[in-house]
Amino acid sequence: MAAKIMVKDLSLWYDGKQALKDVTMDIPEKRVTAIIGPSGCGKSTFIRCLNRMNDIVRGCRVKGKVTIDGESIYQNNADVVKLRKKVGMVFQKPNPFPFSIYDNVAYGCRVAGMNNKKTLKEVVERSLKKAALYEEVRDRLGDSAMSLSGGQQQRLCIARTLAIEPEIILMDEPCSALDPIATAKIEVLIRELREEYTVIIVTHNMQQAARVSDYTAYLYIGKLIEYGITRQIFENPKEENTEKYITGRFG
Amino acid sequence: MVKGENGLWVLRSWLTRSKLPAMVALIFSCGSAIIGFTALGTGHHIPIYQLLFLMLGTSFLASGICSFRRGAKNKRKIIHLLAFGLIELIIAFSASYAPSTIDLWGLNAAPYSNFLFSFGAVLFGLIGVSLAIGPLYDFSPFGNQKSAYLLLIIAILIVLYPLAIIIGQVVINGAPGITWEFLTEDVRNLGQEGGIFPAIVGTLLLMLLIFFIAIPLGIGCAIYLEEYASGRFSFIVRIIKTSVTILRGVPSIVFGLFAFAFFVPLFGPSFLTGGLTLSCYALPTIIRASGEALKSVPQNLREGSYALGATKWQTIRRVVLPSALPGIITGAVLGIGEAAGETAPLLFIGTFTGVSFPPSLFDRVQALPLHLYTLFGMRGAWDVMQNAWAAAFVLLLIILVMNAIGLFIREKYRREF
Repeated sequence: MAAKIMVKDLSLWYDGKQALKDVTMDIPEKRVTAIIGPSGCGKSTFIRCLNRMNDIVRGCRVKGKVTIDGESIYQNNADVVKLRKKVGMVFQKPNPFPFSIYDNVAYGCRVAGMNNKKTLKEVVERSLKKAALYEEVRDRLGDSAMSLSGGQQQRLCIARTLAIEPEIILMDEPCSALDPIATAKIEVLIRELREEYTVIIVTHNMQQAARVSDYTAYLYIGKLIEYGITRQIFENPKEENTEKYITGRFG
Repeated sequence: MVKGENGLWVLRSWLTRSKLPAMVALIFSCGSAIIGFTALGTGHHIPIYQLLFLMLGTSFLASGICSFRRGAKNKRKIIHLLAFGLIELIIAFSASYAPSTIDLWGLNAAPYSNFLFSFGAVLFGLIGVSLAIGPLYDFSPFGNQKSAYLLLIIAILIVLYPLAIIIGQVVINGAPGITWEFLTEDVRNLGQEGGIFPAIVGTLLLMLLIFFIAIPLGIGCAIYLEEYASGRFSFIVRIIKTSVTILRGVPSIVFGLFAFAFFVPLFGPSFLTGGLTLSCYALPTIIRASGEALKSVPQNLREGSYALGATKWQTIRRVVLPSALPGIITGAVLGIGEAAGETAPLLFIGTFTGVSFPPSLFDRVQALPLHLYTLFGMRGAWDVMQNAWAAAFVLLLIILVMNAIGLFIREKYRREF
């Protein structure tokens, strides 16, 4: 399996407090990789390193190497804007912009300088279809995105991310603010996205990790404890700590 | 125990159960506080003070006695009620015997002056309210909630009360002076005749100038301070923000002096100088309000934009600014309205008469607040008060319309996160 992302000795500090400790892992292409672990273990911090989202956090310092398709993303001349177009991100809380549904999806293309109305329309339609939202909103693309339900908003955020045609999609607990039905829809969507995209999902929900992912990484206090095929992690973990966490006998 | 149809006993049992005396005490206290407050505010003499204190005292005594008989829980409060009633009665009676002035070793004092009486009425009224509420008060959480709401409503009413008086005075005194002639002609005969057309035009033009100078500058500053500089130069930013706050507190007359020393040598006593000075005055408000509006845009919207490959400027321009727009508009309207109503910054540069429409930026300009100030300065000597009230009415109207427009735009662009 070709590694899309290679992380080597990645450490990260917030104001001198270490949040990640020498994480080394290779993330395979066109697979779903789940990151699990207790709260505060650095899961979100880790995936935010992959599109340099931590750059905008004050007092954050990163050491180590992250390469995507062989290109180091933390080297001095790396283009952050280009990187973020390649590595899309869906956040924990649905964060649609206070514009219309259409403008939300078109946003990424517009900031990239694409203004052709016809192409934009196609992109919006295609992205909404891919995110399984098109049927629900086709008649009201001009409505405010805020009028959608939480689950629809999250799918809109996924559509928005798909519109910029990324290769990698990072999902930071995308279902934690959603009800079970909306969650199920998004999980189905993640399985479909796997065909075309490399997906990395942070989740608190062990069943969700087991259902949607091919690979699972277990982080604990900033350290990568165990990483492997999901089935193996869940059925036969090598580390005692992993087993404790997965079976819920933690601490 | 049945004592038969003894009339006295019926009265007594009614008194001990009834909440009426405490209610009367409450109403009297409220009345006393409000009348006293009005008298303090307007300076009118209200001749019923003694009666007021008499009534207060009686009702307090009555409510105290009733509560005492009912065996209320809070005995101390009841004793307060009784003592308080006595004090008020003493005041009421002694007032008529007191000399109108007292000579204190050459220092003349009027112990029962209108001010003291009004002040006393407010003070005793408020204390009375707090005491009389005791026997009536429902000490359950629900009761507490109700009284908290009541206090909040009272706070609002107290705030609105002077506002209503101000607007009412201006409308009542000013509205009759509004005629077509007044609105369309220049001032004649030292303000006794003619109108304020040039002053209206001047104020509107000044507002326009402030709009074009202070708003871009203010919003630009706010964006830089909140979005760009806050991470990198946090120490300097803190100094700048503190300076802006201090600037906000600088008296407007100081801005006038500053303009006289700085702008007048450059541009003369002109329209441009006035606009620049008032812009300086409006800037801190606009910067503060815009900054707060920018700060209140949720961080996750910014992150969402960055994650889609937007640059910092694109994020600010397309996501942050539109989201902050309602707040920014509010700040801008407040700033312009505040500045347009200022007199002091224009004292050295404005003019009272002569110009109807400034031919260029470098000519003198009239302004409503300044006009009002000048007219007011002539009162007594010349018959100008009617025109002064009318000018005040027009000024108030302009500022209110301005605020209404701001509110309308804000509501139109209001966004939810």
